[in-house]
Amino acid sequence: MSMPAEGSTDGDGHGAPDHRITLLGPQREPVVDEVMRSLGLEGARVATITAGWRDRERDDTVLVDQLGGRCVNLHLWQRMQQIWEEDPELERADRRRRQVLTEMQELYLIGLQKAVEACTRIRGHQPRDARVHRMAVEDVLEIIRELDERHVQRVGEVNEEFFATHEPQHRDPVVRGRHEVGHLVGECEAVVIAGGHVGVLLGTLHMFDLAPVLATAVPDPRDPRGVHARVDRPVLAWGAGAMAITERVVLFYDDSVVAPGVAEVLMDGLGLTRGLVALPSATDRLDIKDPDRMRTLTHRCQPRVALPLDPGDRVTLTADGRVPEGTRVFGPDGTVTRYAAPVAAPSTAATSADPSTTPGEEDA
Amino acid sequence: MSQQTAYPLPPRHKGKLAINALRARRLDDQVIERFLAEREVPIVEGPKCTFLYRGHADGVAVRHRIVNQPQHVPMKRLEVPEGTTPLWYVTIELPAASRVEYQIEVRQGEAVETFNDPLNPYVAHSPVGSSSVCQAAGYQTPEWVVPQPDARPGELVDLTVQSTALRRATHPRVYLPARFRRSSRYPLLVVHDGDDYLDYAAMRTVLDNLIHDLDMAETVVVFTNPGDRLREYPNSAPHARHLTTELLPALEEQLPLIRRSDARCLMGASFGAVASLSTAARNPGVWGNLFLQSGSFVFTDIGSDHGGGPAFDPVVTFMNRYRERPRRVAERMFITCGVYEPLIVPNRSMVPVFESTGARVQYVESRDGHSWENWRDRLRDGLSWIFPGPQKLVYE
Repeated sequence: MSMPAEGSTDGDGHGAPDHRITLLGPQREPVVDEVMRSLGLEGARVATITAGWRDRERDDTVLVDQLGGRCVNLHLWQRMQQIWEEDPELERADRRRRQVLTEMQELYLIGLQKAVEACTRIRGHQPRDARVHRMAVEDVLEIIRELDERHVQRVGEVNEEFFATHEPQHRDPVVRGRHEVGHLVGECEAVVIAGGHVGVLLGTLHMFDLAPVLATAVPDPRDPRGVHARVDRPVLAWGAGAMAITERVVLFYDDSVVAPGVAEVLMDGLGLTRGLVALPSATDRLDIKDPDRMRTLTHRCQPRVALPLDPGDRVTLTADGRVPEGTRVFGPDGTVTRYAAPVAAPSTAATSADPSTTPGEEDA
Repeated sequence: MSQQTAYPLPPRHKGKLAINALRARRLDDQVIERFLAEREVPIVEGPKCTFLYRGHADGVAVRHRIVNQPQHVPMKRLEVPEGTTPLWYVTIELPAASRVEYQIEVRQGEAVETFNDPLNPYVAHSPVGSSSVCQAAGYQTPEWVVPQPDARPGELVDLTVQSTALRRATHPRVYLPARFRRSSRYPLLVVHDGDDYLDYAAMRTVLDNLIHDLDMAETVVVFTNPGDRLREYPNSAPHARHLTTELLPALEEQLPLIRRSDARCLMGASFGAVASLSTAARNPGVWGNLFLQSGSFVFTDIGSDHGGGPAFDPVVTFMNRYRERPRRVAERMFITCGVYEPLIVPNRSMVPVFESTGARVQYVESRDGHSWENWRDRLRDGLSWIFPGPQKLVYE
């Protein structure tokens, strides 16, 4: 197989080049140069996204060095500020949207905390009848999952309403920005997305409509939507960058100051990957020694697999954006295990046998 | 909802206490001097804290202010040969993570003198002077109260506001977080006894660190100071009017603040907590958060004799009236109190009253007293709860 940067044809039988997404652990001690070399991308021209660093977006000297200077920062955060300046009406509307989302997140979290607390209490109950106890745990987990799904759905509705009402895609500063960003990416052979503030990063990625810039939809009978995203050039991402390009962004931080944190779903990501939830710095941020908390988390991720991205981790996804066999993941019991893909179901009728591909289940 | 404060496990110590080992020895000045040079005083061995004083006196005692404990603890004189400078000692048992402020009292005939422990370098400061500090086993000065080299400092800006309500000019100091931008919008925290929080609770450093560590949201913090504290703080209408109708509009006009009650917080300790509570109570819907430390929430269940002196009269009137008809004065309240201070009783009593109004109340106790370092040590808990930082949103 040729190296991803060269782009073999027909990774999936549809003639699309076989470019891959590579997810990395945190880059406090950066290894981007090594990874680029190993992917055959040495000397490639790279588009970088550091919008998650917000006003420090331009402090990218280390990253530029790692990429040998052959890179262009898309400066999405700065471009966003310019749009706000040029289009105050859109800025006000977006501010309002963010306020609504913040309030929704707060209220969702209040309900979630109660449900998780109930889950902990029920799990801690000394069962007199194991079956009754198991059913009670399953019920409360379903309630938690339902809260997650409803929240994501409502966040999506607020975002859709914003785009439908205010049509940023038809406003001059946004049109200009999207055109420039698309042009810059088009001149590059790879894309690097750094970490930082995942909310800010997602906001800029959506505003500049990066999903179709980074990937093309290709038919996929295994996917409930019938398509999957195929990146048009290799993508390297870590931290918030890794989260933002997945289907679903889950926030987590167990080491909260006042009380143990509860993982919460933020919103859907760009959806360039399939069947995974990225958990950057998982070992640092999660109380992985607490099996109940971890079990609850992995259950909430299902049917997606919880993928830890710790220092030194490097996961190159399959051509259709899935976790490859043997990758270190959190299993259903919350402990670290090696990923084994679900057995593929016959292509006719029986996709429902495969929990990761049941139509509608991912969005239920 | 309040939660049980988690304390470290009780400290343990094996073997003889150092003071008992010393007592068994043949003593002279050299032995005692070496003994003292080799140890920090008070000597902390598990739960046992041995206080020492060296010098000629008719009587020596430790004076502390732990409630419900003898606050005057006489020391014993160690038997030493004639000509040797005497050593006095007493061992007090303190629970894990305790922090106790104390002084040494020395009596010579009729004359009694009280001063900080000459053998202990740890001293806590306050507007009314300083005290020695005994840090029991398990207590650690939080790392976020000392400057961190990579934390970018915020800026302090002096402001003058002419107050009709108070009939004087007020001079608050405004903390703008590092990376402050006029294009952003910030929550507002108004702090009573602001200069004391800055001087004795290291609050500027704490803010720099908490914001840098993403534990606390980038916040504009306004440090206010009283004129006549005993008049302005215990439920004063002019004070509440000044904060709400003079200071707040001035700040909102000059600074990019989020103009919502949930993005505003009043904070204070002792009488400052009463001022915060009464200001919020007098202006429903304006101040959505309260951070109350060791509030002087003195009340009476029968009659009006509270024993706190005339300064507490308006407090008791206010608190009794509030307890008769509790109402929600803020959406969220973070309350802290030291278990070694007399105010622990009214603070514990008020938590269920506040909770009964539907407010979200977080209550934290500490093994400490009515002191600025106690209030300093609780700042991270309170500030990160009131205005949580983006820790959960940032993934490097």
